[in-house]
Amino acid sequence: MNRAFNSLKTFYHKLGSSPWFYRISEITIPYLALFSFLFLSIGIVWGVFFSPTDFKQGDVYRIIYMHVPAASVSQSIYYTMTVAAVVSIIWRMKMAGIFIKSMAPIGASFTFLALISGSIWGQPTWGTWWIWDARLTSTLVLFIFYIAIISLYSSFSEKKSADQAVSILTLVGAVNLPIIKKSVDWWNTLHQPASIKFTESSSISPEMLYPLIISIFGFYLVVLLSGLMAMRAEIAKREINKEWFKNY
Amino acid sequence: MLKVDNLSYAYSDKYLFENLNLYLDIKTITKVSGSNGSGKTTFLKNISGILQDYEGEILYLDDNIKDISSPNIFYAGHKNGFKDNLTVEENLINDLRNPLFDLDKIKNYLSDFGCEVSFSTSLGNCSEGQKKKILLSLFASVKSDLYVLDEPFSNLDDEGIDCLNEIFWQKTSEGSSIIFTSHENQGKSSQEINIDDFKND
Amino acid sequence: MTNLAKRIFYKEFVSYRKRSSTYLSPIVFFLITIALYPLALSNDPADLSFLAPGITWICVLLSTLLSIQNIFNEDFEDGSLDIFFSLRVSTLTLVILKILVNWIFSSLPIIILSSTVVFLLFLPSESLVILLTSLLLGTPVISLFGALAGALSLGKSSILGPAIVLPLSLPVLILGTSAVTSFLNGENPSFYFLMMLAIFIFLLPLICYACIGALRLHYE
Repeated sequence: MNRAFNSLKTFYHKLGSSPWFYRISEITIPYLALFSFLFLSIGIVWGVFFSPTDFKQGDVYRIIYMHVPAASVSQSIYYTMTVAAVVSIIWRMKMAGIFIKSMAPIGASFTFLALISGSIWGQPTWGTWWIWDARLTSTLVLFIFYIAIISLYSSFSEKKSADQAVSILTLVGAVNLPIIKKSVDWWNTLHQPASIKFTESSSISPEMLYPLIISIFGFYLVVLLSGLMAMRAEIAKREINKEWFKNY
Repeated sequence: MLKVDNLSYAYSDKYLFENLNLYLDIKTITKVSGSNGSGKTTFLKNISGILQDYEGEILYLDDNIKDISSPNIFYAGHKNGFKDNLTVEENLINDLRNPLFDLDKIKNYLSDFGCEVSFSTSLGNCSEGQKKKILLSLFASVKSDLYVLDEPFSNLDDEGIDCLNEIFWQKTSEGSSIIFTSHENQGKSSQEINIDDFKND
Repeated sequence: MTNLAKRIFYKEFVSYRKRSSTYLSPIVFFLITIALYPLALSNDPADLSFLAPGITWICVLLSTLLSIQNIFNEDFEDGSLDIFFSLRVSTLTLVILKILVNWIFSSLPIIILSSTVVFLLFLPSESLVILLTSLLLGTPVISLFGALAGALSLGKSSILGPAIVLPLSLPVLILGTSAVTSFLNGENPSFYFLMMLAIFIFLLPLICYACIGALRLHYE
């Protein structure tokens, strides 16, 4: 038990070290690329071509193999950025700042993908490209926050300060996003739009579920892959004059 | 009174100066010289507690300057901290460095500097030289143990320079310590430190 | 209130009072944006009357945003902030007092002026008090977010103001307008007022400390 805790502590300390991270990420990236390609292609090909047609929605529903993973990933990225923000503010860990800076554009891209794919799904299915319900509105707000984080980071000339500023912004967003979502949700219950509710209320059959899970997993791997690559690029940018990097 | 111990300051991973040691005793006038952009202003901001992310220690009366709640330090930076849309009087009365609302003392010093500006004119209508003299009159009238002045001699005419040197002498004989920057050969000092000496290029 | 706090407040107050644009700009902006809605949507009193609470709230939100973004910029540029940090006093006092004075000069005139929507947008006059109360409770929260945006983007003009403040103000916007519309439907709006007050009390220490942290970042 003690050994497990100690190894966790060492892992945490190692995470904070850029040389260690740089070395480990170099080794893992090829495997990640392979597996993410595998999972993604299996999931999407299976889902798009080989899963059964939905009774209610026809073949249009197949976009969920892209939409649901993108939406899931866009939220998870923000959660991880929140954790990194806390670490960055309290312990001033450089890697945490690098993490936030690298993940923000990735999060923005997948949020954008989620919004677009959701719109495309919504039009034939529910007859509308957009609706101001809690989920869509808060996804749009999340997208705006990602853009704000990217923009704020670039406005600082000193990277350490940029890390801190972006951490503060991430945290304020994290605290307020649930409030925003709840308030829009509550507003919608007052002003119930006459049209259909936007829930995936139709229960999903196993033949559709398996490719979805594989696809989701593939998306997470892609995020991890691109995150590692982006962090390596940022480390290179920051440490270019350091001894360890020159001798790498 | 103030001890600077192995002070180093880095900006964007480049050190402006390293391992700077200095002791500011009472009754001393210290001049900080150096080329433009060498870090004189940064050094002064370290001493006055504005920039606190330095390496090394700054001790004020043997206490770490970061721990002190209200050190008796007067800071006058390159930017004078005045608001152009307020009158001279309003600027001086409301200045946070001014513990007393004693305008007469400031008026006297101002005329010593040879500046004849009415206290009810808007500060925006004063010239740079006049603004400097107003700032220095404030400096002259405030009682403090340590005075940190950034480029006090800039924008001053000869009359002003002489007057300022006189005030420096007055204050230090009363027991204070003054540290100022200058990149020209103005200002008499009892010790001098050059930031360029502490660069590691 | 300590001596220093009084002096900070007084200095800020005098500085704002002297520059008439601090209260005139928000007023002008507010009136213009109010005018846009009838001209762009419909000048039918029935339509406007229905939309009035929402339109008023949006215009107050935008007007407040305009003035609070630059709350720290002037002090940063003329060196007052430097001096403040050299005096080693409570930054919390400074932040709170600056937000307070800014609110008094920018938001308060607009709130008072928004009474005119009874005529301009045909707001039902019985709901005016509710509207004003909702604005009184909601604008401090907007000011808090605006101050944070200003502290983060100190000295630079950036998209941060609208990008942060507007999404974050969605809850108070919703609560504020719902207070008025629910009152017009015969319900008791006190729930909404309590929620807005709770949000303010919850966010006040949080955002103030975030502001302090953000200000300090520009001194590194």
